[in-house]
Amino acid sequence: MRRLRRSIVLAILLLILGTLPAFGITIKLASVAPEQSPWGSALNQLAVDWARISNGQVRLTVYHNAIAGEESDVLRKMRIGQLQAGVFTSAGMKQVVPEVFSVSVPFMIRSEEQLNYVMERVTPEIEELFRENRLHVLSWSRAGWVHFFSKQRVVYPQDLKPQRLASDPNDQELQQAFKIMGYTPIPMPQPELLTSLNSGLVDAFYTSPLVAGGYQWFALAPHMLDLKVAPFLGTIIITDAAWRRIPNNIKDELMAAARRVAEQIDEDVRELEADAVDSMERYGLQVMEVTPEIEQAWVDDVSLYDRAMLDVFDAGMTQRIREILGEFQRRR
Amino acid sequence: MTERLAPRVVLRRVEEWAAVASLLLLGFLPLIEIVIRAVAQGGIPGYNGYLFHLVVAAAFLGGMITAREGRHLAIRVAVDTLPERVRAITDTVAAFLSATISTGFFWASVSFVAVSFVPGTKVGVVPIQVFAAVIPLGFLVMGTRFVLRLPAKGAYRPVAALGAMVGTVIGYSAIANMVYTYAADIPLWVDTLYNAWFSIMAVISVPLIVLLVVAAFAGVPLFVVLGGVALLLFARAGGAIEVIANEGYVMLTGNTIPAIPLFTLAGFFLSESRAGERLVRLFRALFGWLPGGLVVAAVLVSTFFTTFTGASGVTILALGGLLLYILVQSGSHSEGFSTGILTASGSIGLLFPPSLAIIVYGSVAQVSIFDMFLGGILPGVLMVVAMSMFGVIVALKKKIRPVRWNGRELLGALKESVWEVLLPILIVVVYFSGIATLVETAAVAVVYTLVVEMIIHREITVRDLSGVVLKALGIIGGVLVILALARGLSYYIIDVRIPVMLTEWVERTISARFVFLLLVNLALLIAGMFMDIFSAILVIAPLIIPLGGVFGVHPVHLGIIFIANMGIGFITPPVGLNLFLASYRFNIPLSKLYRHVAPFFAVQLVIVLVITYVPWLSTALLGG
Repeated sequence: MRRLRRSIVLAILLLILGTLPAFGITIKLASVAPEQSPWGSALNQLAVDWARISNGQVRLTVYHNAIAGEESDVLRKMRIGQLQAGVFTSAGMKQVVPEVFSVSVPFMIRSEEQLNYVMERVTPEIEELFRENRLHVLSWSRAGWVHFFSKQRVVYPQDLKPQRLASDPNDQELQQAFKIMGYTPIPMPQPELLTSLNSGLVDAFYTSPLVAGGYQWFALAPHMLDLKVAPFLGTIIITDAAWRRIPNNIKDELMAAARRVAEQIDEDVRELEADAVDSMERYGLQVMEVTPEIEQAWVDDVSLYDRAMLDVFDAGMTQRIREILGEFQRRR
Repeated sequence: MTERLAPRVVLRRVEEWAAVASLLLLGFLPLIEIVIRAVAQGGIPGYNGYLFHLVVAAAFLGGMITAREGRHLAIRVAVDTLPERVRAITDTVAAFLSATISTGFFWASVSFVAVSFVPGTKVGVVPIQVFAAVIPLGFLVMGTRFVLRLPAKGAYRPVAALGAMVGTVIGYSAIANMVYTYAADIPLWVDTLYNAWFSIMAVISVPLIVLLVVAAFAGVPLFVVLGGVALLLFARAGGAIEVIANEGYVMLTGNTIPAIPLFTLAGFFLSESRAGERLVRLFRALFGWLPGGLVVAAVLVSTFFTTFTGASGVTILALGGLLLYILVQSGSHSEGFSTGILTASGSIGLLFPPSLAIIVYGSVAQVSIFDMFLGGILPGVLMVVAMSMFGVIVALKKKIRPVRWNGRELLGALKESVWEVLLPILIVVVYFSGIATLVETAAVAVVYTLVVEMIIHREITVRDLSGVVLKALGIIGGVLVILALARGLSYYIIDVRIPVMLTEWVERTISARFVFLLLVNLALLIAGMFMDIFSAILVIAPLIIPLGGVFGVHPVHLGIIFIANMGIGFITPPVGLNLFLASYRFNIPLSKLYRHVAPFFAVQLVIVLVITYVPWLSTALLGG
């Protein structure tokens, strides 16, 4: 009898052991970027780096190309514990930390230098806000600069305002902002953009040149205004629960690896954005150059709505970025 | 003089009222949006959020009604021929399993609602959890109703109800997840039980999966089987079972999904009125003089509708009832032939411009969408011709005498049915003039048919209305719940990286283009059975496109192979999605439908092979 009981206990123990993962930690990371993109190759590189640093203990499995879901979906899967990490753009990040989106207030930050200057100063604060939501930011990169694309040539704000401007339903804030500034935004889910441009339901849209080229949307709205509307950011974020399971002695090295690939992404995105514009031009894209006078017209137009933007975007962070930008101006 | 109603009756009325209201609101909201958009700038604030979540509500409230009527799609093979004693036992086992899995779904979705949303997330002005709560409610009610369908006498119900306990064991990880998220400090027993859960699932999940699959043939609803297998697989892998609820939510809140319930409802308004009779008269006058003319017309109408709605299943739901009536009433075609050809014709429209499937494929594959449109034309024509030939051959074989052409009859028929004839024209105009999106067009179709049949023809009265909507809800609920739960399984396939592993294997072992293409056919056929076309494009296309390059397959050709293959995946027994929809719409058991579809399936399979091995068909129109 006792022997039987012992063998049962043993059998159960073996079963338990058999089901436990052999060694190490698996981190499932989801990204909306295609595998053949700066983000895709960088994440694959990160998987290799992390395996090397941890001697194979930390296994990073990457799900590219949104196969594990869109950003809000990835966020939910991280909260329930099916995924441990994800790549997020500003549009995804703002669902957790709305303050992030203040960086993308239209026409507020207008150059790489300004963006770098601002990010250096607000990043710690934003990362702290993520930590309050049990998320840990590993690295920051650029996802690209948003530009206007339209069927008819656009030079000044009043050219674009009456046109129906497609706006992703997930970007409530931008939609709201454009509406206040007197534009005509139409909520339009991305998969329907092409048919809507075709049927005339919308006349224009805003996105980064990489996206416009990738989805071939520019073919139906072949005028691009060479004006930086707003920067979009990208991050690699891991859940606190997963980060805690990683041995402390290798955390710094893992972070450093993530930062390295982020820098590589920045470099590649800049290059590819230029390439994308070149190749779109070969397929009929007309780029409208922007003179200082034209740029000023847009800036002047926006300045009328400075106050109103505070109601749409996080007021505290928007104010802070404006102050930082003022400081930047004075320094130059 | 107030009558006191029993609480049960009150509950039932509330349930019906909520279900009907959510579906009708889904129909009218887009119209209000169109009007506001035309008059003022912008539109209803938070419009898309409301729209998508009304679909979630309609799906689960509808699913509850479907369960009440015992109409959740299931395969029952030979169960009804068993002696009554034995059948009572198999029914009890089936109900036990259904209750087990539904309880698992319930806990998974409670935790999904409680944990997955970032606090403070809202739909318009309503906290998102309010809308999402309909998911666990739906599973709870459906699970209860599976038990209540058993006889009240004897031990049947209590035995089946034990499933709730087993289901709670399966759902434990979801319960623990809620404690981990919200408890200030975690009691030790939560961890201990979690480890125990892990070991228990390792032991029981595989036997339970086998049992579920076997029980699928004894009447366990298909959504329970599909979702249950995924639930157990995720539990076995130590994953988060909430992902089942999450995937269902993602599916139902998809951008074009609202078109499914809406076109179904519009189809019901037509089939519940005498529109069918009017259209039969018209079609006969128009096509009756051609041998097989009605079949040709039905194939063309189905193709056309699929092309424009982009979703093959919608065609069967929206037009199936009407077209079946037309074919059968004409007197020359059997019900078997008619249901078979209508089911099979549902997906061929995917190959013609401006099919959404082609657009999405072109975007994902980075192939010119215009070229893809051109590439699809000849293969599509081949499919249409083949299906039409069936009609002509049957007509010639049976020596059906065509009706004589009669201009006056045609004019009379046209006059009578003019309002219904205007519907497809209205759809095309509204959609292509840029007035409305696909979903809004579907809503226009709902309101238009409602006005035509209620006000112009007066064949549906105000009193009938809720009955007709409820009838449609029974089907809409069944369809949407299957769609939602099937998606869990396709996410499991992604999670364990099966597509990636397959690609690597192909790269290592295959060297001949012929073998590669055959494998592509096979893999896509299987994928087509389990995945909706858009997930398949996102998941599988990026994997086979580089391989296609290695084997020298033209990118447009590969794309057309992909779409054509997915198209017949929809009608591949035993689980092709359109078979489920057709079984609902035509109200015939699946086992019978398999037989009806078989000849058409075989012909389409041959055509897909022709498309695969004759690249010319896809590339001839491309020019230099």
